[in-house]
Amino acid sequence: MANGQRRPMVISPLWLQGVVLTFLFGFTILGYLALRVYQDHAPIPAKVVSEKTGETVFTGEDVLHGQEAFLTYGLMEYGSIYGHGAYLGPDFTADYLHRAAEEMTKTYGGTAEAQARVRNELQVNRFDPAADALTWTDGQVQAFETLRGHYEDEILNRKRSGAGMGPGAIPDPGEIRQITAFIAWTAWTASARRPGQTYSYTNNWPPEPLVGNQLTEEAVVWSTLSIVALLGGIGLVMGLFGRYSHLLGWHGAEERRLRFLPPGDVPLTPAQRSTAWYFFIVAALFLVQTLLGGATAHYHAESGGFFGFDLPQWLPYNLTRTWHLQLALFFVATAFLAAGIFLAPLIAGREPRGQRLLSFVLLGALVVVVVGSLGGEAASYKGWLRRDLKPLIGAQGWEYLDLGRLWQILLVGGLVLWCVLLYRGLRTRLAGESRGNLPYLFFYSALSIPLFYAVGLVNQTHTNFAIADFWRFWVVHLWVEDFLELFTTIMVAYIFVLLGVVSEKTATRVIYFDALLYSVGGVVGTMHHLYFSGTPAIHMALGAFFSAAEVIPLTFLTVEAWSFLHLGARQEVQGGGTQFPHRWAVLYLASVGFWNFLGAGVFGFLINLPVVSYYEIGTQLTANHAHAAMMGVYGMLAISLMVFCLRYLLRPGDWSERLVAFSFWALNLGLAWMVFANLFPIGVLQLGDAVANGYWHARSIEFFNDHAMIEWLRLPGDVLFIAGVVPLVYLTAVSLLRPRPTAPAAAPGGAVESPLFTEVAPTPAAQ
Amino acid sequence: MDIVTLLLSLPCDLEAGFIVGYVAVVLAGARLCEALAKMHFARARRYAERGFEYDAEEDHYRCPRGERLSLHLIEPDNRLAVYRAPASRCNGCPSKAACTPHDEGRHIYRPLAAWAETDVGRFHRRLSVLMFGVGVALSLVGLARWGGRPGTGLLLLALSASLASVLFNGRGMLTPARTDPDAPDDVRPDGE
Repeated sequence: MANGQRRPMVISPLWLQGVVLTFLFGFTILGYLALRVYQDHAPIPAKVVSEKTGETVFTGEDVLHGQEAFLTYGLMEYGSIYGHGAYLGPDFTADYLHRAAEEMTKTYGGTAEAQARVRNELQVNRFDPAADALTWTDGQVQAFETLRGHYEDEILNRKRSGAGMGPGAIPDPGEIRQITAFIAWTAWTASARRPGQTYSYTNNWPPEPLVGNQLTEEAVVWSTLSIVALLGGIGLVMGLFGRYSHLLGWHGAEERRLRFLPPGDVPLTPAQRSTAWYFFIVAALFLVQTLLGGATAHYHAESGGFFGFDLPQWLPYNLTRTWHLQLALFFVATAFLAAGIFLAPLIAGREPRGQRLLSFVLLGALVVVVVGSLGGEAASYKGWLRRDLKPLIGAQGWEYLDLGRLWQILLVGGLVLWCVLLYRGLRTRLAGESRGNLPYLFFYSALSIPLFYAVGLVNQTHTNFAIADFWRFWVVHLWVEDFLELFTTIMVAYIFVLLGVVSEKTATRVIYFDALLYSVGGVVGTMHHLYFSGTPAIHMALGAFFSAAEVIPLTFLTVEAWSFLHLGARQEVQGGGTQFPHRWAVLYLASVGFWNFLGAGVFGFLINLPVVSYYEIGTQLTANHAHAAMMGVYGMLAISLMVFCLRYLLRPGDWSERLVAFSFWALNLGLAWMVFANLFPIGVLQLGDAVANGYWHARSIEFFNDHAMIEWLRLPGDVLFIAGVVPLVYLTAVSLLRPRPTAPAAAPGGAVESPLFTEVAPTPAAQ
Repeated sequence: MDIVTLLLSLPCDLEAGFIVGYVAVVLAGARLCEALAKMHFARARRYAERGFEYDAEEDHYRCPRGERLSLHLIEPDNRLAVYRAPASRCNGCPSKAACTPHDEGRHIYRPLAAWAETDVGRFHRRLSVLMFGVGVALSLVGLARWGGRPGTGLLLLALSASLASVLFNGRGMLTPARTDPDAPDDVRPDGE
């Protein structure tokens, strides 16, 4: 703006102050909770000694090395610890605890007295902080030796493929013993009572009658209070929405008639053109991701192979799942990066020199990270790397943060480079804008992406599990569920402003309101992942209470999404389906609204309450929530952004309504089939089994074998879904092979509201 | 167990009971969800005319200040009717700033398209068909697993209801109707 003057905020600065204060409030509480995790996590004793012989059974070093081996062999992508990890293998904590209790009962004679003795032995905390030693009874020591053999034979070093694992996965007996020591330590934390408390370090998780683990008073009380918070919050927000909806929704005083510039006539900058490569890579990664997802799901129906082929020998479940998960993050993140690069010149109205080069440097870095990290994970799981190199260039193995440390650092570097790229592109626009207006909000939210992903660097493979899980969920929850959500909200709002569908004022107000609602529940709500990971009870209390509040913005967003749908439908109808060029991008956004409410809201809240999570964590109900929310929301958003950009990147003649339509229907209906025909019903059956037969049983391979028919039901949905990706690969390939000719640059003149549309008055000629 | 007792018995297996209940919820839920979506869609349309009263008899709108918006034109291709207030009245109106951004008089765009003609309508209708298919598939799985045991009758009922839903609704839902009884089709420009 002239004379260094900044344009004032388009809405009241109180909105900005409110958001800043809310973030400060949330992060102050999180800071306190971080302190408590470091103070109160379960200790790893320097040694575990036998009460009978006084000999050392294993050391604290063994536990930490075992944890590292557990992670770098990808066992957190096979089964789980404290319910966190993958879903085909057992929950090792619960499985060890149950089997140990049975073994000990057998050792002591199998009578009712033996059962009572076992319960007492497992509950008593014999850790001596002064000596830094834990004493185990003879029964516990014998159970440890028996279970070491059990895990070696059944999972870690099988003779032949089965249960999703190939033969001889971990041949080193020393590593197997250390892994068992780590599992045994987690089982100890799950049964030994916290000093001065009547519950274990894991708030009595898992539910296991043999050791007297049952729901704690705190779990019941905070579940009840969180329902009260939810109902009260929804009432409050609905009341506010009813009162102020004329200010808060996606609408303006008058709907304008717009003439959209034909996509072929919109001039593209060199950096915008470079995003064609990004989107081709996004589509290709997405295709591979879905194929791996199909293979991963197949293991639930046929755990020993793939239609008779010995797949576990080459691609065991832990590897297919790791890649499936990592590629989900990669394809979505790459699409967001590309969309950011594409939008920047539309926002700024210009592009500085060198952006294209930087864009390709970033793309190169991303390719190196993707190829390097996926290859490293395979090398680590297969044992091709030296033990000390595994966490560095192989796999760190924390679920969602599976990649080696080098690739993780490079990825953070790539994200920082992306922010630099955006800053260069937006600099002139930012100079003239208030720091509370849309261009700044876009830039701030972009900055939060590398910042919160970098938090994952706190973790190392030998970090205490409770501490590591705390920081891991800063990435899984805060990064993915909050800040990516915020970034995409801002990006979508900006696209709508650029398309003239909503006014800048309306979009800014919606963004601030969403940010307020996200941060009230979402920041502290991160703790709902940590009810049973060895964190103190206060994490459960605050996590349950604030995460219930997370459903409130989702309810509001759903209400909002209906108005949003209306906008899209109006454009479609007014344009006769041809004038408005973004029919399918808007429809993908509409499906995001649907999945956001169902996947994140309904399925998320279903498993949020401590009393439900106690039996449910790590079952297919979690996978159900993950698929409906991650793919339904972020996946569809990524595709929406891709389709929006492709409309400009493709020659008009190469754009195919039919292919995009097929993709839209196949992806949405395929996902709906997956969720409703398989993941939700099998998850509920698993939940019932956890209550009736024990959590360890609900997580056993026998459960899946017993319900194989429902697992096979998923197949049609998977096939339809994978078919829906193919047209996207084709269209992105065409945009690379037959790039659009350069359009004439817009004629210089007065300032235009947007390069994508012009406003027109209705002509009576049609009368 | 004789056939009549078998058909009338309730499932004694919790899992079989869940399958029956789930199919019922899926069938009813699909319908309910679609009805809610349709209702909200109609509400969202009305929202665009907030504060403006539509007189169906005379086919015009009245603004909150009592000014009349007459039918200005119809765009049949776009399935749209445009109503307009006199520019001279709007330009002198104290509410103009909050009402319309230009000087040509406030316009209201009234979509004539029906729910089934919109992509949102198609989205929900196809989703419903899919849910009915889920009902069929799960009922068959239930029968394969618990057929011949208590609850068979209810599983057969669930299968029949799912199949009937697919047969009676599938065809119409997959092929969107061009007309809808709720849609206005008698809009005439003033003076005609």
